[in-house]
Amino acid sequence: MNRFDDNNNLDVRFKSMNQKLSMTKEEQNDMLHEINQKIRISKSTTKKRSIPWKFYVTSAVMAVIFMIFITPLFNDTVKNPGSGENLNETHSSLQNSPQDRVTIEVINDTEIDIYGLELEIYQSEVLKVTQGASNADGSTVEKGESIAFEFLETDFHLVGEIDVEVVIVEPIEMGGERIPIDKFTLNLSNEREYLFEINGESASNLDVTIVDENQ
Amino acid sequence: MYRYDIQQQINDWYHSYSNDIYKYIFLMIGDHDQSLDIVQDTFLRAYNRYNSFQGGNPKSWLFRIARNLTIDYIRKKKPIAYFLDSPLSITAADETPEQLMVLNETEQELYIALSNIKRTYRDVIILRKIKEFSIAETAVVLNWTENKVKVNLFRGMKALKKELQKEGYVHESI
Repeated sequence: MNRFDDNNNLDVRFKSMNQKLSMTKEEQNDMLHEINQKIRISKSTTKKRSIPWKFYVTSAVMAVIFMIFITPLFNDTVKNPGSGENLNETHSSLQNSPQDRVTIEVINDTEIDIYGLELEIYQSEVLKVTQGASNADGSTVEKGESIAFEFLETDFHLVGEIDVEVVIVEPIEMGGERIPIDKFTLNLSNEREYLFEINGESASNLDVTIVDENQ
Repeated sequence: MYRYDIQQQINDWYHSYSNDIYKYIFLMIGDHDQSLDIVQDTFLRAYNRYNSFQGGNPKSWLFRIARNLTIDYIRKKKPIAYFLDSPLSITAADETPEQLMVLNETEQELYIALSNIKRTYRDVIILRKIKEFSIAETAVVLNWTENKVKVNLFRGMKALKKELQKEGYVHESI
């Protein structure tokens, strides 16, 4: 038999080896000291928040590039006379000054239910424009209520004599009949707003008169 | 858990397990200075990755870290030997490491034989026979199944005896 002949003998040798192989106390203490020192260094390193320079620099560069490209666009809008004029032109075409339009307002002073009115404007005996109006909700224009019509220079020449024919218009559901009431001549002056009223007792006996606010 | 508490915990574990971990590493690589470095790295890594410790047996967890670091070292130092799972190839004629001088003759023979078997066999024998880990603990450290631990231990012991026989330390009758 030999010293390694059985497993028990091997186990004894293993245990003996395990007991003999060891770090010295000095090595153990030195190592622990070093471990704790490295942990302290890592703590202080992790506590120190590094400044994200890359982020700041990238942001600054992006801001400069943005300003370079965007600023000229604003300058063009403010300084470029051509584009400004275009804007003004568009604006004026959309919003004419009061001098460029004529408003004719018609008041219903009758007991008749009026659903809609139509004005036909003649100038030099030529029909220049027909404009109809009714309440948006389809309701009747009660006594005392009015409907306003607005005309622009593009409709007809806003100075001089025009003939105005007022027509009551029934809704299509009720037959869509057009009932001409009156035709009168109106001399357009510097006055831009004209007020008329429909008078009469019945549909067959109606007329239109101008309301003179000075009276 | 505060950093200070973790450091305290690592210190406690160090006092309990550092020497055992050193022995395991030294038996695996046979280099005292390198073993000390790996022990130190083991506890530093345990501190840095304390959040991954899910309770249970800290000894197995620390040994697992130590084993991974040891494997990394072997892989870097001898990549071909690592992939071939070859032994350390220490012979009796080689200069005996200073730390082995404390061992008697038979223990030195056993150490040399252990160094000359496959790394996986050496691994499981050191943990089971020398460090006296249970099969379950060994399986955790090696990340093996318990069955694989048993099979490799059986084969490892057989290979170890064969190596001892080859070196003339045992009779052929065993």
